[in-house]
Amino acid sequence: MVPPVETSGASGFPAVNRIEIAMSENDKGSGPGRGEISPEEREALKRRSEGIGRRLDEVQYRQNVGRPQNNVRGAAYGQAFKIAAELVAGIVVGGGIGWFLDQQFGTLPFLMVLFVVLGFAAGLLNVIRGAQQAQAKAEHLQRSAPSVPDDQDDEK
Amino acid sequence: MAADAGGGHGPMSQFEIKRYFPLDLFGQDASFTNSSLFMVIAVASITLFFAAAMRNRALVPGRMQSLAEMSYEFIANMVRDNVGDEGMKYFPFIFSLFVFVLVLNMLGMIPGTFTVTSHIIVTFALAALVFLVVTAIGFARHGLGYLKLFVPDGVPIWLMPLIVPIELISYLIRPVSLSVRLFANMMAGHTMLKVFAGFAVSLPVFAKAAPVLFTTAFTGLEFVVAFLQAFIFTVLTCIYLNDAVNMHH
Repeated sequence: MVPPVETSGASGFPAVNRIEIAMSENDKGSGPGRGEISPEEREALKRRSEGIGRRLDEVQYRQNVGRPQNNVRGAAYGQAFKIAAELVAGIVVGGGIGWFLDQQFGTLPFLMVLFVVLGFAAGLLNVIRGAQQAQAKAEHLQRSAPSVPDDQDDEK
Repeated sequence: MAADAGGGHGPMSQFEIKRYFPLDLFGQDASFTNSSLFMVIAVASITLFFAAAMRNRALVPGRMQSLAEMSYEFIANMVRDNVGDEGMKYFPFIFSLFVFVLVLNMLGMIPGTFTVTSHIIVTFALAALVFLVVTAIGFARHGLGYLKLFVPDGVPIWLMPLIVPIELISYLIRPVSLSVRLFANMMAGHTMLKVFAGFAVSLPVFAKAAPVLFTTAFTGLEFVVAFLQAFIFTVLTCIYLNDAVNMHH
């Protein structure tokens, strides 16, 4: 995308500009009013601030590029474990509840069988909900991602 | 590892509970164990770290202070994203939970230490606390209306006898899946590490490189898992909290 071209420009300009400005300031000393800036100086300042802005954008871009990869891989791993745990827990909890009720009513295998099935369904329900949430979040992230980050930052 | 010196050398010996100060409280075993010791170490180091990090309260933070601020912002954003601004009321709870689990996981990565979170009773106690707190918040905020959580919208009446028990069970599963996930990850990872480290000792010299390389790489992965599981534990707590705070979401 953007960075490679602008990197060279951004890293080349600021150093030169800084010297220019420092020199012109020295030349004037305590001459005319401090509020006035000569056209060249204004140009230099503008270029310099653009250079800084680009460099900031670039750093931000680099950070943002590095992060999602890590996050996505980690999140996928977490998601996988979440699903496995959810299914196992569903059956265990369902079986436990069924077994407890069977003990109370003296109907040993039946309620336990029923609740294992219910527990499995509940586990699936949790998995589906979790997946839906993850999907909604991913879509939201994609939509809210800025297409051109440079312009926004330069405005400020 | 130092932990092996006393007991056996099996991959599971690292999870053994050792009683340092036997104590019997009303017929319950309340001994001070290596597990308790590491919980105390965790709490002490967390307290010390945050106290030291925020001592200067500099406008431009130093290394320690920015670490403290980063962890604050990390959890604060998580709570805002998942629960909304209403959820910031419960930030201290979520933050303590995250830091406690994270430090316990990370302490376990130091060779010779004991991994508290590799015991399901500990993770289940934490998850049960989350479950009870979230349920209490739900009932406190919505009264009996919180029970509507178990009656989803747009379900025909004749399906209710099936749906309501399923919803109820899927709610009751939460503490179990939350605790099983954390404990299973920590225990499986540490066992794997120990098994492969064992291969490095028992295999003939020419084959030692493979288990050593694997153990090294796997140690890195374990650090990721230690962080990730603390993160997931906290995110899920936030998601559960979201159900309790704003029911229709």
